[in-house]
Amino acid sequence: MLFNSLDFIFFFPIAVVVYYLFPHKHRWAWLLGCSYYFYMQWDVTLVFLLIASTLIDYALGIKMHRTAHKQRRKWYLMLSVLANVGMLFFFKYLGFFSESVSQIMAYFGQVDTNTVTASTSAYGNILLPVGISFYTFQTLSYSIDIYRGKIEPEHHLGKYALYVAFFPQLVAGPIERASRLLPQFHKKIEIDIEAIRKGIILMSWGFFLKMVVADRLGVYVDYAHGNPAGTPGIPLFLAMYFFGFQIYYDFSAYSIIAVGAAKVLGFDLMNNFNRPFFSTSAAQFWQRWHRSLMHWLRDYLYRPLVRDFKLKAFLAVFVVFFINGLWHGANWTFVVWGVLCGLFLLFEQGTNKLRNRILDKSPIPISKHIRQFLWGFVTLHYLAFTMIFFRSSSIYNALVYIKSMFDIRAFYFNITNDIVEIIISILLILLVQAIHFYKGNDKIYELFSSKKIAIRWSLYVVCIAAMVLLAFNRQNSFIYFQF
Amino acid sequence: MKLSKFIFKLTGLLIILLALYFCCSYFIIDRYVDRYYHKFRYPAGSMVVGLSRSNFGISPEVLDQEFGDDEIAKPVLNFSFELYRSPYGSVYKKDIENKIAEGTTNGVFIVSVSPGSFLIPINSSEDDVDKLDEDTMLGKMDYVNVDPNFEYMVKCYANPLYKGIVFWPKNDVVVTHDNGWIEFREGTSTYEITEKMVDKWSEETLISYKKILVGQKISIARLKAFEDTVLMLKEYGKVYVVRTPVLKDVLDFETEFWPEMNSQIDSIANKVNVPYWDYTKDHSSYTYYDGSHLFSKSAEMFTRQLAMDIKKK
Repeated sequence: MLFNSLDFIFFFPIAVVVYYLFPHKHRWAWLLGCSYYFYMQWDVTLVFLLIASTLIDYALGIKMHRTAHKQRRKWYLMLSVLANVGMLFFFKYLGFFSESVSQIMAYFGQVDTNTVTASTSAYGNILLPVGISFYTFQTLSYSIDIYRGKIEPEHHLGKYALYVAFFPQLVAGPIERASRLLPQFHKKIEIDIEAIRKGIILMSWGFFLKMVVADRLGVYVDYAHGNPAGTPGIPLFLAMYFFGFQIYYDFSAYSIIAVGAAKVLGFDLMNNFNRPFFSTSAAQFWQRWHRSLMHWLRDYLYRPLVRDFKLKAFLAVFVVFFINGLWHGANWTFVVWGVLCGLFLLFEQGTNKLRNRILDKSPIPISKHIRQFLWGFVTLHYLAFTMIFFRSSSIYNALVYIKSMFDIRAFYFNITNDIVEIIISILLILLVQAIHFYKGNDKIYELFSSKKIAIRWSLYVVCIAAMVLLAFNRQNSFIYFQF
Repeated sequence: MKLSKFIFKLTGLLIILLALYFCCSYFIIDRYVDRYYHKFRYPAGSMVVGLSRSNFGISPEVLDQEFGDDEIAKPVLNFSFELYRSPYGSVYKKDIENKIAEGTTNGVFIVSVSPGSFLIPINSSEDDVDKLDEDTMLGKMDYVNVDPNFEYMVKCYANPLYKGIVFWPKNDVVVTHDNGWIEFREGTSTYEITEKMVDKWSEETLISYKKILVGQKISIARLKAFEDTVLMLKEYGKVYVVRTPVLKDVLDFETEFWPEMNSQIDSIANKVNVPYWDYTKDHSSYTYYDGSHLFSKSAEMFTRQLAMDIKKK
């Protein structure tokens, strides 16, 4: 079920009203039922995978906690990691790996092209369960935290199942930690009108970002990526930046709807974005972009690599970004994207002193703020460029796009033959960025906190009118659903 | 804030949202929605079904003129769409059946065929057909005979509403008729269509077909659904399976892609005892704006020819 679908418009109010009517003791059951129903709207059978993952980690978590034997604890952890990563590998990466291996072997003449095609079609039809990358990472963090002694296992199977399947964040995060979310399922939640109001405003803001801004930008981006050789030059530059904003608004829309929906139900989820486009460096950008994933990679991959496996920091960064790319999708385009991002971060860290020394020699003194601004400018343009790989369906298509991009023959950009839409898109980007600058990604409700009723209601009506008149009625999926 | 006050305010905002949405939608419906809206307004006695070739190439108005009210059930509606929107499958069959006016027994149903009606992506299995079709406009619509049809606005109107309010089409080359026919005129006083433009469009059509067909295959499930659709339509009147004319280059390309098309369609038509008429042999008698779709006058001429053949039968 998509957030931006008619089904969700009916589902969510019913879920909320019945939830608050239920006695506190049994609310988990209602929410779990809603979550499974929500998930089953994609494919009924996939819920069994979710249940299997839940049962495995629930059982292993308890066993791990009960035994004092260090080696046995390690075995239980390995079993949990194997189960989760194995599931992820089978459903998401098996086809990709078998195809890649066959292609490499074909390249060296070990197999013929028919074998490559056979291997592609043999695994290519495995259905990718929606949200598998998100919930396996969530369950993995649960097992690792128990192993590390950071948390106690959850003994209530229903509440643990709810932690894995909680519908607002099930299919595209934020990837929540057990230490943060599970205790909330035990707390008695009273109706808090202010929290519900904030939640509804956050959800509405998310719908606005998705339907009015991201989907609008997507029209131009799809057009440019559909035929880059046919629209060379400036339009491809514009589409490159538009895609940067599209994916940001699309994903942050999902995250903010998830945060808002959870808030309406009385729960707090982490904010996945914190003004990433105002970052002054790549390091800062990755602390602000998809924070729940980046924190996960930091805590469960980077730190163990450096601390336990004694890997050099720069190699660990490289591994983290390689995995970050691969996590996004079973395609070399994502791997290249991840590697390019990692290399830039290493470059940034490696040249920090050198860059400052060069700028120190400048005849005009350059203040710290200007330096930060300039480097932030370079960083964001570079990251927008790497996104070409993220958006393209193959490395070849990405290279065609890049080649066509620099084939500037004339000044034109109106490839969609709709100048009004392009102007609206740019104005909306400016508006949203200004709002994010002043209110952050998650404090949008402060805009509606004026004491004067006339101002407050005028703002509500203007927002509703903007939503009704400007929204694209595409009901298309959020980009991050595919991951 | 009290809960009741909060719910009251929330309801007020929802009412404003819904009222604004439906007022804007009604305003658009009153002027011009899009090419397909008229197809979802009223039930039909006779129908043209298929893809874009019949959508542009068969005029219900001509059929209306050629047949008297007592000869065939009316009104005649063109319920054809385009590639990916209305391939043969259980979704299209269900919607076609829902379009037929109650008590129809003497309808005329022109079932147009082209390779596009039988395609599925190369990596899809035959079991995926229904799932694929459920995502189309036809799959989304539950009510196909409602006027004004707000369901269409909610589920299928893809543009932002401001566009429908501020900019309605000034292009009078492509004209949408109430009877579902989409007419592509040979040009108007404000828009001239040159031979060069037609050549370019024809070239582009062939290129796009080549691109599309690389990733597609002919589906057995769609052929079966086509047979089921014809059988269903036979209960309501007479069915004529028709292949509309196309430019020779397009025809040659299609023959290369699916050499057995005519024999396969013919054998299904024989099996269910309906005529199959292939008009591609007469391709030079008509003009096309892009090699695949007929110009307005040719469409009328072709429909007249079709009506004569139906009368002869």
